[in-house]
Amino acid sequence: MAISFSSHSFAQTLSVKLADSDGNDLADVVIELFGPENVSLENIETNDVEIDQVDKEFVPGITLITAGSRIRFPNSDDILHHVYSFSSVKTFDTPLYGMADESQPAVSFDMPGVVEIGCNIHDWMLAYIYVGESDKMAISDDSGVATIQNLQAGDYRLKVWHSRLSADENTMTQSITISETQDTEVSLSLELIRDRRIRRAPSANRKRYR
Amino acid sequence: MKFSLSFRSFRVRLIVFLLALLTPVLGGIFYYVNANNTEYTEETINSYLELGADVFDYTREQQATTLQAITSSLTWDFGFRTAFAASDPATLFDAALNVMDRSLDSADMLMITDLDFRVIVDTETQGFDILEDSWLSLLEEADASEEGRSETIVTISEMPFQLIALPMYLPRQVAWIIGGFALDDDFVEQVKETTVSEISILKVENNTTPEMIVSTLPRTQQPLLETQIDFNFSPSNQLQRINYDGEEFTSLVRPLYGTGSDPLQIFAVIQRSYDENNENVVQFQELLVRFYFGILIASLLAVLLLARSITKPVSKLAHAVKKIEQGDYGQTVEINSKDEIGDLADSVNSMAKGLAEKEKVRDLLGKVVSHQIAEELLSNPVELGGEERTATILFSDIQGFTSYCENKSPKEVLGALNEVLSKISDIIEAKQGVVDKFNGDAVMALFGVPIKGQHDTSNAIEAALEIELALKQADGRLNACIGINTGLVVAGNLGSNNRLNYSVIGDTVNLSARLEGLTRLYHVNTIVSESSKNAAPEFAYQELDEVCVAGKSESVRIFELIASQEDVTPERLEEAKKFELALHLYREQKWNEAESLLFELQESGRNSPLCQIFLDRVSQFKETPPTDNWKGVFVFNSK
Repeated sequence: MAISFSSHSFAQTLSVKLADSDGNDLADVVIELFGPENVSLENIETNDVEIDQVDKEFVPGITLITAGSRIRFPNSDDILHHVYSFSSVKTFDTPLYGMADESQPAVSFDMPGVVEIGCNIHDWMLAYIYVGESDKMAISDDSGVATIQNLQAGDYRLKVWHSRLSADENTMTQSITISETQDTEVSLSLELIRDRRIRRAPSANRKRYR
Repeated sequence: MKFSLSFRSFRVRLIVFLLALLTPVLGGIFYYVNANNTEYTEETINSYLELGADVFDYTREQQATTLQAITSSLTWDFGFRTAFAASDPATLFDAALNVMDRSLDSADMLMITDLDFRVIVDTETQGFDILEDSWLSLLEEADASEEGRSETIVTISEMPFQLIALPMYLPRQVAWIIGGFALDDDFVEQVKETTVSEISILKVENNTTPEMIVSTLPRTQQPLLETQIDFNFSPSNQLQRINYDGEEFTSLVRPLYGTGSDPLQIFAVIQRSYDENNENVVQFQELLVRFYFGILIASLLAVLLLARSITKPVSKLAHAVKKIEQGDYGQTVEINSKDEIGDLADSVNSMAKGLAEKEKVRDLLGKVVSHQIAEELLSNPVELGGEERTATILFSDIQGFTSYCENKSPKEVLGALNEVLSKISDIIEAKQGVVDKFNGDAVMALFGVPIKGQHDTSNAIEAALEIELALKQADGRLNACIGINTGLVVAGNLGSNNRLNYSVIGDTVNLSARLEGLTRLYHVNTIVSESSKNAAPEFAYQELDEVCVAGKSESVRIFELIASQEDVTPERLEEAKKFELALHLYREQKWNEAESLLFELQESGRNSPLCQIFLDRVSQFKETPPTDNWKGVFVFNSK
């Protein structure tokens, strides 16, 4: 019933405008929609991606995958990296490896949640892997807008995550209704905590550019 | 009395003057230098202490930085990260101890808390799960800061610990890690080595008395610091002086933890010995004092020498002048200097010479002229001219001197004359008379000039009596012929400008000389004029005649000087009366009565030559009676 009801209205778009409490556009915010009809994890497409390491930074800084997806961590730098995660969602670490080393197996992320990865050599290297359990996810661009298309009208639960979001697990959820007739636009103001990060080791920079 | 006497000495005055001059100057220098030195010392100590405090802070910060390095490297340790991720406190505790071990004593304690400040690991095992008080505020401060770093000082088991708090990343912050090192003996000794200052750390709990935690001070001095130090002050870098059994320490207080109202306050006290720093100043002070006395002694010696160089010739001069004052003109002062004293000595010598010459002149003058005239000449300006004075003039001649000189050589004559004249001269001077001049055996003497006396005429007459006696005693052949007259004379310096003679002139003088001449005629020793007789009535006289001398129109009554009233005999007075009666009859032109009386007198023998004179005149007048206007005056037409 629900399927037939919604079959002809699969054309709505949700765009969420995200800003911090000062009104600044907020990029790298993950939105995830649940409902009205839940899709079981087994039926969600996995997407194998790569997180590259370029100039001693993870690229990209945030990666959206669905549970069950696998990620490879190629090394584009001419030095070795040691990728690790102590996140409960997925704890792993690679041995030190370099650019030519293609034998690194892809790491599969089976549980939904956020995984923080780092490099044991370069303390400032930090990337987030958002392992979603929904097929409707998006990440906000530089203008602070995250868009999910092809939505059928109905009541949804919107989950919002940001690495500095001042909330438990950096996550907040709220209900949202997608209109039948028009695109839905939502503006959200997020309260952030301080961005405390490890600075790049200055000696490394100096050596590099000398 | 003695002091005032000695104070009058030139030397003492010079010394007092020098002291009065030198003492304020040297004292002023001393005060100024001393004040500056003391200020300098205090500034030096203060700057040393400030430096000490800075070193203390620096050392603490260096330690903290080291601690931070060690603590933050802990978070890089993959084994530690793994252990942390494993959430096994026992393993983490061992890992923490392992890090402390590797820190080479830079870290004395480690604590790890989760982001909700729950204690995961505490190497000091203080037994609290949730942080409180200063620990909590340390982390809250770190959480609020940009870098997530903060530090503080706490006491753990009575020992102050410098704490530093840092976030632990995995790779995001998952915990707080707190490192601490003890501000213990090792620490204060280390600071002392760098600053050469005593370092103490004290705490004050609930505003009670300060309590020593650690100190580089000897144990005996620590309680003294506890009792003397005052933490209730402002501003915080106030300097205090602490006394350790006589040795002063300048102390700088640096608060380490807590402020005025906090229950726990920790202070660092940095101290330096004031006396030790002041040692140079004290030495310099001693040097100054020695310098002061050196200058003083040198100046005193110089003053004594100077005073001596002045007082010695001066007292020499004074001695000589005193001798000169006493009449010893032979003094010469030998001073070989070209200064004012030398000039003065020359002047004194010249003065003595001048005085000696003057005295010589006075002496000579006394010999040439009479003493009184000499005085008159010396005391008044010597100039021509004179004044009219009343004086008694005495002319004396020696009758019979020619026969006395028979069979004598000229030299013997002169000797004899001088002898007689000396006697006469002595008599005259003894009677305050003045020998005016000698003329052969004749003497002219003045009484009443130049110095007027009370009994000038009486003196002259007494002199005459003595001369008469003296000549008679000298030789029976010698007889005095004396004329005395009193009246106005002109007295003064007679002569030319170059050659003067103090003398008297006038009719009185002339008459006196005439009277002397008349003695031979009347055969008497001394003839006195009426004016002289009247001026000296105390003697016995016998009137001789009334005469008109040559060149004079007025007549004078003349008298023979008999003797003093005491010496005269009644017979002689009777005789004189009879003669004066005969003279009276003669003047009355009672020739016969006069003649008979004169004969009677002649019979008695005493006045026979004189009676013969008048008997001759009477017989002459009997033949040729005098003119009608004859009054009994005998006129002499030749001198």
